[in-house]
Amino acid sequence: MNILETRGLTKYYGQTRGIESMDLSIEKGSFFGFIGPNGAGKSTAIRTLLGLIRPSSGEAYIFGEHFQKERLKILKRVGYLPAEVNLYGNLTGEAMLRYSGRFYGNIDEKRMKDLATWFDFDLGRPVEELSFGNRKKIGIMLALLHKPELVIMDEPTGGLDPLMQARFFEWLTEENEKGLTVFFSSHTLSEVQKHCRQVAVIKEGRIIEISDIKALRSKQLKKVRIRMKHVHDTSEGLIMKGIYRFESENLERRFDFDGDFEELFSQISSWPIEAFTMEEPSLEEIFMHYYRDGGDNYESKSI
Amino acid sequence: MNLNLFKMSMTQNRKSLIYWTISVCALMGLSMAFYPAISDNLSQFEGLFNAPVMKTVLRIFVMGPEAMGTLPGFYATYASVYMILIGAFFASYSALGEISGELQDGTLEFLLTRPITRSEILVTKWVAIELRIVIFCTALCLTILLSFNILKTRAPLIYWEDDTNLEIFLSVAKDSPEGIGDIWQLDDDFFNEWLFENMQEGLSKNKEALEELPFSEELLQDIIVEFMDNPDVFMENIAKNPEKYMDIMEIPSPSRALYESEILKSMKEYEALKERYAEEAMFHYEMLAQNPEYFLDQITSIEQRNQVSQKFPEAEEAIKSMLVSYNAGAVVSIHLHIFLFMSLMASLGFAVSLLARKQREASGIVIGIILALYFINTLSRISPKYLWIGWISPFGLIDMNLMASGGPVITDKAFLMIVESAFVMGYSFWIFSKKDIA
Repeated sequence: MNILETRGLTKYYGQTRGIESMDLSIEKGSFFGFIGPNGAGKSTAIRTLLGLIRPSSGEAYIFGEHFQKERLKILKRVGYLPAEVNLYGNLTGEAMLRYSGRFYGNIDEKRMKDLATWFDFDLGRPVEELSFGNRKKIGIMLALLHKPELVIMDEPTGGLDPLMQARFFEWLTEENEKGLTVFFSSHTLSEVQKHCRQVAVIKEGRIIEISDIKALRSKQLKKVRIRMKHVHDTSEGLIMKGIYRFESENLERRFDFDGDFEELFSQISSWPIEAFTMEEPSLEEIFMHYYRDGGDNYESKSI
Repeated sequence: MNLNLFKMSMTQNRKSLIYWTISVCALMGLSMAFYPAISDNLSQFEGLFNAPVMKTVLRIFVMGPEAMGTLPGFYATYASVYMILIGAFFASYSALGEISGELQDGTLEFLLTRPITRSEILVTKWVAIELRIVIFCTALCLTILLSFNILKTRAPLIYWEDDTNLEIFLSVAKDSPEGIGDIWQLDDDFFNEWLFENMQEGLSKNKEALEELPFSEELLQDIIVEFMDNPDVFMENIAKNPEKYMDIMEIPSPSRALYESEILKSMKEYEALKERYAEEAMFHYEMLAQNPEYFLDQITSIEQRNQVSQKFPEAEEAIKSMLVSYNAGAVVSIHLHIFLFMSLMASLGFAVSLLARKQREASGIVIGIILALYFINTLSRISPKYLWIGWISPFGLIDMNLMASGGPVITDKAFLMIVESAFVMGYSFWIFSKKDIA
C-alpha cells in the first residue's frame, strides 16, 4: 500500500514553475530520499503535500486520503520538519513542544524527555536564544513528538553537526524498523545514498528518476584527476566505456568515470602517475551526466 | 475555536494588551483631569451655555466649545478624539500581529501544519482579538465613569430625556403649577424665547408645509428674527403697515385680504396667550408640558435642582434622575459603539494582513487606511450637508451624540458596523482559505 501518492501534481506561481506534473508513490515503511539541487522544487512539493500551498493541478493521497479534503486527518498522523524552523521566540523549548503536542492530544512525557536526551537538547532555554543547529533539533523533536506514522522532512540535516546527523538517522532508522515511513529531501547525495532505500531525483520541477538506491549506486559517477610525473603522449586520449568529458591539460588529465575500475587501472598502468585523486561529483554534475546519457527525455525537452 | 491556540494568542499578546490599555486609560484620565481648568475658563461664556438656542445645538451636535462645559460634551469633543484613533490602531495592529506577524516570523507555517483547519485558526484568533478589545473598552469605560464620578460635582447639569421620569414630574407639576413661576423667572423674554423655540421646532417638523408657502424659508427665518427682536414692535408694525410685509413675502394681491385676516387672528392669539401667561399658573404648566426641555435645560446647577425638588417634593427622584451631570447608560452605550468600531478596524487589519505580502507593507497600508478614514470623517463635519460622508468612514459611525441620549441604545450605525465587520471577516476567510504560505 502506498502511504503517499501524487498524481500529476503541478504548481505554478504565476508564470514561475514550482513543480510540474509530479507522480510519486511511496510505500508504507519506506525510507525515501528526495533529492535535487536548490530551486528544483523539493520544498514546493513538500509544502503542497502539507497543504501550505494549493497546487495548480493534480492531486495527492496520503494514507489513502485526499490531501486537501482530509487534511486534518492526515496532519494528525504526519510529522513535518520545515527547512527553516521558525518558532515563537519567547517560549522555551519545552513550552514550544507542549504547545505543539496539545494540538495532537496528550503529550508523551517520556518520549519528550527521551528525544531531548537523545539530541542533547536543553529544554529550558528560550527558543530565540538557540543557534541554527539547536533550532533544527527542536524542529526535529516537534516533528517526532506525537509519534507520527509518516515524517516529511525538508533538508533535515542542514545545520546539524556530524554527530547529531548520525544520531538523527539512528533514531529514524530505529523507528523506521518499527513502521515509520520517512520521506526527506536533501541536496547531498551521499546522505541519501547512505540512509535511503528509495530515492526520487527532481530537477527543474520534474521528477527525473525514481529508483532503488542500489540502482543509483551502480550508476555511481566519480570525478577522476590524474597528475603525471612528466609529459606522456599516450595518455592524451583514453578510450573505454564509462569515461566522459575527458580533458587533458599539460600534466593533468581529468574525466568523469562510471565504468569498471579494473579495466581503467589496466589501461593506465603504464602511465607515469604522480597522483591519482577521485572524488564525488557534485549533484549537478551527476544530473548533467544522467541527462546527457539520454536515459531521460528531459534534456531534449528543455532545449 | 481551538483553546490551545486561543490561550497562546492571549499569552503572547498579554503584555501588549496591558501596555496599550494602561496607556490609553492613563491618557484619558489625564485628559479628564484637565476638565476643571477648561470648564472654569469656559464659565465666562456661561450666558452662552445657558442660552436655550445653544442647548439645542448642543443636543444635536455634541461638539464645539459650547459643549465642552458639560462632562459628556468635554469627553466627546476633546478627550475622545485621540482615544478613538488610538483604539483604531490598537485593534488593527492586534489583527496584523495575529496574521502578518506570524507570517513574517514564519510561525504560521508551524501552525498550519498542526492538525487544525485554517478557518478554525482565523476564528480562534478573531475571538482572541475580540476578547482583548472587550478588555480594552471595558477598562476605558470604567476609567471614564470613574473620572466622571469624581468630576460630577464640578460639572453643570444636563437634562436627560426620560419619558417615565418626565411623566412623573409633569403630573406633580400639574397639581401645583404655581411652583413653576417660583422657580423659573417668567418674564417677557422667557415667554418670547419659549415661543421662538416652539416656532423653530414647528418649522423643522413641517418642512413639507414650508415648501408649499409662496416665500422662501430664509425669508421666514428673517421675519421670525425680526419678531424675536421685539415682538410688540413687530406686531405694531404689521398692524400699521401690512402691505410692506405682504410685498416682502410676495403675496399675490387676491389673497392679501385672507393673509391679513390670518395675521390679525394670529396677533390676537398671541395677545391672548400673553395675557394667560401673565395671569394663569395652569398656562405655565401647559408651557412646561409643551416644551419641557426648554424649562429643564435652564436648571444647570445642583442648587437649582434642589429648588425644583423642594417645590415638587413628590417628584424628587424623577427630577434627580433627569437632571444629572452625566448618564452612565449613555457612557456604556458609547463604549459599546467604540467596541464595535474597533472590531471593524480589527477585521480590516485581518484583511490587509492577508492581502499584503509583508508585515511592514501591511502596517503601512493600515496606517494609510486609518488616517484616510479619519480624514474623510473630518471632512463630513465641515457642513451638515456633507454629514452623509460620515457613513463611509467607520470613524463617523461612532455616534458621540449618544452621550445626550437616555441609555444603552443600538443605533443603525452600530448595526452597520456589525454588518461591515462580518463582510470584511467573510472576505478574510475566503482569502485565507486559499492563500499560499510560501
